[in-house]
Amino acid sequence: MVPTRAAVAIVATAIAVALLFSFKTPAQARPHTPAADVSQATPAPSASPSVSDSGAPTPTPSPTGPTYKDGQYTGQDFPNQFGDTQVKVTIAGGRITDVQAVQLPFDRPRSAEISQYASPRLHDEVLQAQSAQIDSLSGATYTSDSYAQSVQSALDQARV
Amino acid sequence: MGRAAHPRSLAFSAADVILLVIINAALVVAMWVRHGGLDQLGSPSAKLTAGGQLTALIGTYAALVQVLLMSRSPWLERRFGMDGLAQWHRWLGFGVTILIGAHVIFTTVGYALGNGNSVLAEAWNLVTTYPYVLMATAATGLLFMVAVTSLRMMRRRLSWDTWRFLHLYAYLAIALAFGHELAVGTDFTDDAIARWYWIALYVAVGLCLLAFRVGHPLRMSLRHQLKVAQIVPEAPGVVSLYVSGRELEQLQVSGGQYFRWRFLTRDGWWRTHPFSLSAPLTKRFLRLTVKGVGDGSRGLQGLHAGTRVAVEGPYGLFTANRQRRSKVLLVAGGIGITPLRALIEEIPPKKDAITLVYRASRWEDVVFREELETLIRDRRGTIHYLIGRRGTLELPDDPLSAQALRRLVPDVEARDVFVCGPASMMRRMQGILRELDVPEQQIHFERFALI
Repeated sequence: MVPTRAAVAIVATAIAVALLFSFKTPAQARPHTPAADVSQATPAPSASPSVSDSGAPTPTPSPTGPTYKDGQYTGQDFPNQFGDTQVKVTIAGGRITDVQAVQLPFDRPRSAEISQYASPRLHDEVLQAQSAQIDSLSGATYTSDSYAQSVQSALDQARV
Repeated sequence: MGRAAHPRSLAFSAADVILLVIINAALVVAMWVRHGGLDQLGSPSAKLTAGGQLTALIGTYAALVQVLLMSRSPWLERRFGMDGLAQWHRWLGFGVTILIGAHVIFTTVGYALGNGNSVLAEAWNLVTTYPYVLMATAATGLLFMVAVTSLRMMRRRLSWDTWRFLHLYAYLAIALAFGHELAVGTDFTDDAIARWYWIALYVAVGLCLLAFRVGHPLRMSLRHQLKVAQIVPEAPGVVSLYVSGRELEQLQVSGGQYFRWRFLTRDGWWRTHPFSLSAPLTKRFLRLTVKGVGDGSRGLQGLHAGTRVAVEGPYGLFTANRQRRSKVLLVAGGIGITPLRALIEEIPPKKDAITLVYRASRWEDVVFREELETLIRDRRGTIHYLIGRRGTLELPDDPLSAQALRRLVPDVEARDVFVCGPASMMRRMQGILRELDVPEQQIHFERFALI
């Protein structure tokens, strides 16, 4: 009824399509995000730094930039079209010593890839600038902007 | 007898259809703008990524339009004609291939730049970690295969059956690409409206296919129960098929139109053949007349009385209701006489209203001679036979030239001219009729191409 060549081609095609459908991307093998541990929008600063210290001069105050109270401050969540962006800023000795992403867009592979790429770079930029005034990363403009905003909101809490 | 609706009396015009296609194209581009397509034009990586999205959207949309053009929808065919649609389908096809190729390159390189990966590493990453991108990659491969086999150079080397079979993989390509569009397409993952609009485009095209490629032929065949009744030789290599069936008078067909015929034989049921009726419809039979050309038609020689037949149609704008003037010139080349033969009875009768110029290389190839002479004599018209091979002693000059036609038909520019014949003759006739100042809207061609 059907020429042999056509029959062979149809069967081969069916097998190939079945194989394509059986292929699963490695179950969203994305970097772990510590999204679960903090979810309040505007948490109070962590308790560790003593409030009594506040009157004492900070050890290494930056002469020009603003000074911050030591502690950990979680910034507000600034969602953009790709997902939530929220950071936790650590202040020690009046300086920004660490920024951790609490939430970054990871729900889609493209976002995850961008976040994975952008996170360490934005971290370094903030530490270098000692403020939220950072340049946007090319290819991660939205994430950069949200990241900077969240850093700013954390710094606002830390302001002396 | 029913007639196809006159183009001018249709509820919406060709311009409306073109407008609809353009509006949807604009909506697709608007979707891209709305999701930040223009905002992203900062860094090279962002530009490439945005370009990758735009080329994907337009390329895929154009592929859907292509499928629609070939859906055999009567509402399209009556406005543009099958060969106009096929021409657009062809050009769009190469456009789609270029756009999708650009999409693959832009997106891969754009992502690679953005992530600091090498292009190869990014390509691997895309295929292995992004959902359905592997399927889409296979789809791209199929798309390129379909495009390459449709290049004239390749097309000549393949049999019609092989080319046709490979061409059907375009449907598979469109289906395989669909998953990644919704799963990773920036425009669809976050926007339900865009997503549903996109799905609606697919559904609309799918419904047209289902209705006119499946539903219509099934309904026609069940209703009319067509069978080959008789096979009559007309000339060397030319036969007339008389096809009988039920309720034939209900077929809404005009002289000059064609059906797509599917003869349900062991070795040929998967092919359809676009053949004109070669005589007006009667209550008892449809007649088509076929010359053994192309792998498809040659397979017809194995037909016998009793073979079941499925049909789609009628199609074609080569009808008497396109006539603008009261007189016509019919120009036939070889077997191209068939639709003209069926047209004669529908030309409003008037003295000298019909002149037929019948070009053939040998007298043996002239078919329907008695039939034509009776019909045209009754209508007080004229037949000119132009027989012989060009460049031989008896026929040193091309008998189909502007001067010759002017001599045979002095009032040619005041007539509607209907031409049907081989492609080369039709091209020559186009030039000749322009030279003779026949207005464009009085010229009507029927191309015999296997689409």
